[in-house]
Amino acid sequence: MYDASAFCGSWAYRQVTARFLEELISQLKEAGLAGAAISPVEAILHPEPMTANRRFLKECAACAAAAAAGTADRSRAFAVYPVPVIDPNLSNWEEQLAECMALANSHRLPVPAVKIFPNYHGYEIDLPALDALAQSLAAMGITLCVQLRMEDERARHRTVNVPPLSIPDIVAFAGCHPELSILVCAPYMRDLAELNSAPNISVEMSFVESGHLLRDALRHMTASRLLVGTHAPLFIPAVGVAKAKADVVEAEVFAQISTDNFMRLFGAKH
Amino acid sequence: MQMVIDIHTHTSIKDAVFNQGDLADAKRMAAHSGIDRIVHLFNLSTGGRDPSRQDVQTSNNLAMQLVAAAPDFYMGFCYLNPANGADFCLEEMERCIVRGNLRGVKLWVAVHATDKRLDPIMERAAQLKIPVLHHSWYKGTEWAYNESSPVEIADLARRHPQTTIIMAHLAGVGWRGVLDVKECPNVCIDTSGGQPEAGLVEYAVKELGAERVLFGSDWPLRDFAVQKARITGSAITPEQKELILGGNAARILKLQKGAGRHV
Repeated sequence: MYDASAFCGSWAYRQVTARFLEELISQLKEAGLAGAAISPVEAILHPEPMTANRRFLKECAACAAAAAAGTADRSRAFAVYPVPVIDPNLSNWEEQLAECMALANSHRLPVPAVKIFPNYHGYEIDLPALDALAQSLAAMGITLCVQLRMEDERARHRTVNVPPLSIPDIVAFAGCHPELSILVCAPYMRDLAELNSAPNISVEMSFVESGHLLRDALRHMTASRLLVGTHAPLFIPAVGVAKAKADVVEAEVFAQISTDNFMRLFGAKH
Repeated sequence: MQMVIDIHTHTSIKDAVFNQGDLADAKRMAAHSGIDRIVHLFNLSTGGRDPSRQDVQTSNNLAMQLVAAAPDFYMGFCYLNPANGADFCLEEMERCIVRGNLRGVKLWVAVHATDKRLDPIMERAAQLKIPVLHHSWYKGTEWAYNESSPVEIADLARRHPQTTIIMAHLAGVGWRGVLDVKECPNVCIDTSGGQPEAGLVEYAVKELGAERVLFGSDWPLRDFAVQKARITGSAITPEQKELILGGNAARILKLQKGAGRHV
């Protein structure tokens, strides 16, 4: 089973149970995961994302090297899929992307996807630079991860007033870039039906829940576009895993949700 | 092995009409998640935020039917709205708890926990030695009607130190809510609802003791298996998990071996 959305680093609004990559990997492995798409959480609140991206990619390289040398048992057999953060609202977004690719290359790391945070970085989905980024990513076969939210709006810090992204805007954006694979991160159950209308949108389930979670999610969204997500270390990893097992489903459906869809979005480029 | 007890569940049945299909569904979903017994608090489809006397009775009738139909699976609490008047609330407790088959009281958002209209209910609960489960939350968004904060629950607890209070929604009350009730030994917290914030169960155990944390799901708003994973996936000892998953509820609801039903 693979985790489509996890984070590494310090989150300003509360303590996390795993700040460093090795700690996060240990938690995710203990929860039963074989790999995860991970982004540097500090890139969300920093004025530019590259300081966090550089440190994160270096940490990924160190973990990979330790695993290869057999010196970090906890890292063995866990696949890290780095997903750096890009801010197309900054004039140097193309340099951000290029540097992330170059850094990853130099460390023999893949970059199967990049993640954007429009609401935290202060732009709308119809930003022209985002269109340009989307075209670049589609040409490179890289998945675009769009993070709707980082917290339940009811529980957010009193100084935070970041609204979630507009679902219709995301669907419209997806329609403008049919060749781009998009993973929407942190939607609620009520968002799935509308997101399903764009065939190039997949979703991860870290914020999805109802009393009949899998039945309801599969009613709104095709199995080929649902993924496991933990939102670790902010959320308990075991909960993300439990969602994929919340009810009895066909083996093929379970395989899609837990592994196949992840490999389609992240794995072919690993 | 200690049975797993979910202290916080609902139904969402149109017109609160009991049917075997809903019962079977609840049993199947709970069994899939390794949950042995659940406590029904009120029917979500009945009455809204300020239920009338009829709404309350309708919901409680359903609760008693569920318990009667599946006594080894369902337990129930008596849902009350203090705004319905003390006489009515006390008579409803007599009907549903003393003469009926329910084991506790549920309070939601109709009035604040600081409201003195709760006092007769709390006093009677103390006499009956039954718990009162009270909704609570710290909202970063709009509060729901007369929703109570943990500070208000603490006020209620200090006014009624002989009444066991279960404050609902650990993820809703958060770190601050845990501290608000820390010095109120008669307050426990249930883990139902909200998002699975990492570290919060551990924090509640550290600050309150595992004996004051109870597993709840908020089903059918939330998923049994997912909510249970908050406990099994937390970094606490197996003994603490066992207490939270069922030992504490069994103690509070007097389900331990040799303990009779409350009188």
